[in-house]
Amino acid sequence: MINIDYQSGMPIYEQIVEQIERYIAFGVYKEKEQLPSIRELASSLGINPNTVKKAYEELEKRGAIITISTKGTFVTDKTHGVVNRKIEEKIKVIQENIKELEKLGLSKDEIAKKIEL
Amino acid sequence: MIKIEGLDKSFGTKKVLDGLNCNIKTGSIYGLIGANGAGKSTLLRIIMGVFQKDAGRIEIDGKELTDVEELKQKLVYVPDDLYFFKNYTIKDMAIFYSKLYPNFDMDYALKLAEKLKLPVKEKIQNFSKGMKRQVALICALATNADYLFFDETFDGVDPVVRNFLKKTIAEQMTKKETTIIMTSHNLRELEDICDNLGLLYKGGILFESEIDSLKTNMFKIQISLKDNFDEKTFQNFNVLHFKKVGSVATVILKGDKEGYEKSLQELNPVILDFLPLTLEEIFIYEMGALGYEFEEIV
Repeated sequence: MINIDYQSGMPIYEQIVEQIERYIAFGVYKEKEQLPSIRELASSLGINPNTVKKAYEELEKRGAIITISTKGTFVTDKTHGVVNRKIEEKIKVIQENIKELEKLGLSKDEIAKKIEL
Repeated sequence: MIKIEGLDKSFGTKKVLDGLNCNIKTGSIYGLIGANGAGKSTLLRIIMGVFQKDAGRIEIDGKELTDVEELKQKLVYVPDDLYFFKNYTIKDMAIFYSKLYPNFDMDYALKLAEKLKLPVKEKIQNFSKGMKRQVALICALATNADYLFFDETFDGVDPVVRNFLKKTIAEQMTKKETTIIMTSHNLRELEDICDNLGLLYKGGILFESEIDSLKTNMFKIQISLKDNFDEKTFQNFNVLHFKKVGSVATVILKGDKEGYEKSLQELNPVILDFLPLTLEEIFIYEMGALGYEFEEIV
């Protein structure tokens, strides 16, 4: 489910955070669904458990997942925060692209027409 | 926790370790990199009691490391030059280890050997170099020791086995609190498994850090502004390296990415790209900031 790209300059824990958030935002991981434990994920990916721990801590801080000490790690029951953050991220990318298109001489109207909005 | 303070060791007139200080947290995988002859193996051998230290202090779990047998059973070492007794098979070797380490898990050792398709009943002396390494690793992992020291162990095993061993180590670490020191002269061997890195240079730890914070603290940008600009344009940033070719500059910056991104946008750049840095590059620039040239170190 999770793929680590060792060539990318992105820290492994950030790659895990990014991918799990994406799965949650798109509903692949559903609300309240159980996630693999730190141990399972670490040994299946062959990565340092401390790295997985760090990723889960970050996800917990962002309110995407919750760990219940005896039961395991779950997606929270309110994932709209994750969805909103993903939306903001995507909008930011679009805005950056629009800015670059404007630098290439297109007006906002022309851009809208071209991408058939 | 391993705490080393002011460790000295000389061989004849050559000082190999010179006032080495180092802290290794429990439950971490500490990667020790350094050129040939930097003192990596010497450090591990002193911790294991193969060599006597000249001066300094080594503490493990708060107790000073001496010849206490109890403490030694917590440590296991896989040297880079392996030694197996003549005519020994994997089974014989496992039995030998089980006498030294009371928590040795024979079933686990044999299970790992089977998974790696190592012939349990054949003599180890007839194995290839890579297979011998695997045997040593299996025996070390099966000891259930708290501290594992691997000296260039992963250099020279094939990718399939390497991957298997990485998974096995990860599993081991989740089963019980295990602390690992791995050495290599190759940064790439260490970067995907270690969480902390230390650079050994001229007998001391020149630089140590968490890998993740290394990777998030520094970034490379490619930037071009409408008007003419030079290094002074970035005087409010922590610039480690600046190189301008034509009207495009490559800048290595250290600090908080989000904050910098905002200030960089305010310069109204024509082009602004954030590029990833490899761990190797990060080391080069960190060293540069300390006044060393990377090439002469690694």
